[in-house]
Amino acid sequence: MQKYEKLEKIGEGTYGTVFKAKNRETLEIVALKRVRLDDDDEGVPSSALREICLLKELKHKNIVRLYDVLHSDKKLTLVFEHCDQDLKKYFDSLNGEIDPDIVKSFMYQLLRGLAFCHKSKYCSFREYLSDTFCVLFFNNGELKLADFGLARAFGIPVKCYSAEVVTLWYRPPDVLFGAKLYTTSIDMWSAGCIFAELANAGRPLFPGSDVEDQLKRIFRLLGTPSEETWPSISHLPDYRPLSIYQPSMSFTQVVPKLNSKGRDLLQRLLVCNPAQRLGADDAMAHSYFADLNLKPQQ
Amino acid sequence: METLLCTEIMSSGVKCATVDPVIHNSKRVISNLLAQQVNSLPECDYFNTIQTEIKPFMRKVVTNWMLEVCEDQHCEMPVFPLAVNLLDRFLCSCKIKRSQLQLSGAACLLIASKTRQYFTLPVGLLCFYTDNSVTPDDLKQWELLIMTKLRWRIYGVTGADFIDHLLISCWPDSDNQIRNHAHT
Repeated sequence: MQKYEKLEKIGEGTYGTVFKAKNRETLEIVALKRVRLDDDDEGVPSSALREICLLKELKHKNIVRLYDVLHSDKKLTLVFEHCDQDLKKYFDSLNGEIDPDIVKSFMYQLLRGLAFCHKSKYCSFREYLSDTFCVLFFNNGELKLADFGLARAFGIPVKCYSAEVVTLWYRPPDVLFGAKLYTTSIDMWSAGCIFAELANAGRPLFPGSDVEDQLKRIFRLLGTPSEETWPSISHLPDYRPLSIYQPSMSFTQVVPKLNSKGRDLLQRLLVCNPAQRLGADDAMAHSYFADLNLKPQQ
Repeated sequence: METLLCTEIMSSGVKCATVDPVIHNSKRVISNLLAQQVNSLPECDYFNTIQTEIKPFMRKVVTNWMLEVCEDQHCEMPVFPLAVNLLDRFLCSCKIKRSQLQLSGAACLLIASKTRQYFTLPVGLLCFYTDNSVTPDDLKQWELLIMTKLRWRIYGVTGADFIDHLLISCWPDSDNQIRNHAHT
């Protein structure tokens, strides 16, 4: 621990305090995340253990790097790459205006990070990332997926986590209807929500207050799905028929600043039926990114 | 009659993920698994190089015990092979006493259950299975020791990880029976 000089507290993570710190030798700025061990009778908390193991293996420029794990008497310290800003702080700094090239660049990097996760061997370990990447960080125009504390085993029922109200906004209808089987398509829905939020410089797309409200907000834009558009929808565990909405808003109204190709991509991500949602690889190949400039001026 | 048919696949009360085309139709995932498998092999023949007290028959006894715990607790399929993989890799990195072998096995079960299934095997329960020859504090200390020795690389690839991929590419319509046979 002598290696690092603590500078300031950044916040509270899913299971511990996060500090900004400086490596005394290299002067590099890092983020230290502390996990207390003494109050847990079960040893290392499994959420921390999963995050550490995942990040040890997932090395990609759009995924936050875990440099080291230090352990002392009663705590573990995770040494992370430090990121300047999280999504919320970044939006706050925008004053409601965002350069369309930056939207494109960030969206591409988000998809690239996700594609890496989905293709990595670790997803075949039934570990997946949904909900978790709502914590996005930026570093000099680079986007990083972070906070894998909630990354969970593929087969875990969603109900155990539904207390997480914030992530409700990024949940697809299949999960809201109680689908207990996670697939990579969940991440793609969340990516669509974030895409719209980016394009609108920080205004969340579906800021629902509870599951019912969340579904209504979604269906008002997309129309209520039926057995025709989504076979087997009524078999989902928490499915209940909701009032039939015809799409009352157009995507032009929802994301006025996004060009037509961007709107097309968004519409292919925000598809109620998970089987028809675009995958990360296909999304990256979309014509919206044809004139991509990955290093736009900030 | 058909409505009474239970189509759920139950394994210790927790449903497992179904087929995800992004993962299961991807050749890259299989080639990644194959490449990674090499990294998760034990590095040496530890009976002849590292360990002085530990003999092959002892490994057999402790792994049999680990399998009994897994069966008794209806652990998810990948837990046992991963725990044995962790144990073998740990024994390549660190010389232990004979009296610490069961402790190591228990700690590997703890780690494997934390990474591969929803319900972690409770520390107290694992101690109970050792006839309380291991204390909860020992177990927690040993968990950290193993993870540090393995440099936190505990996502080992085992044979169990290939089953779904191979089944889907060979028999796309196969039912769970083949899967269960493959596991045994």
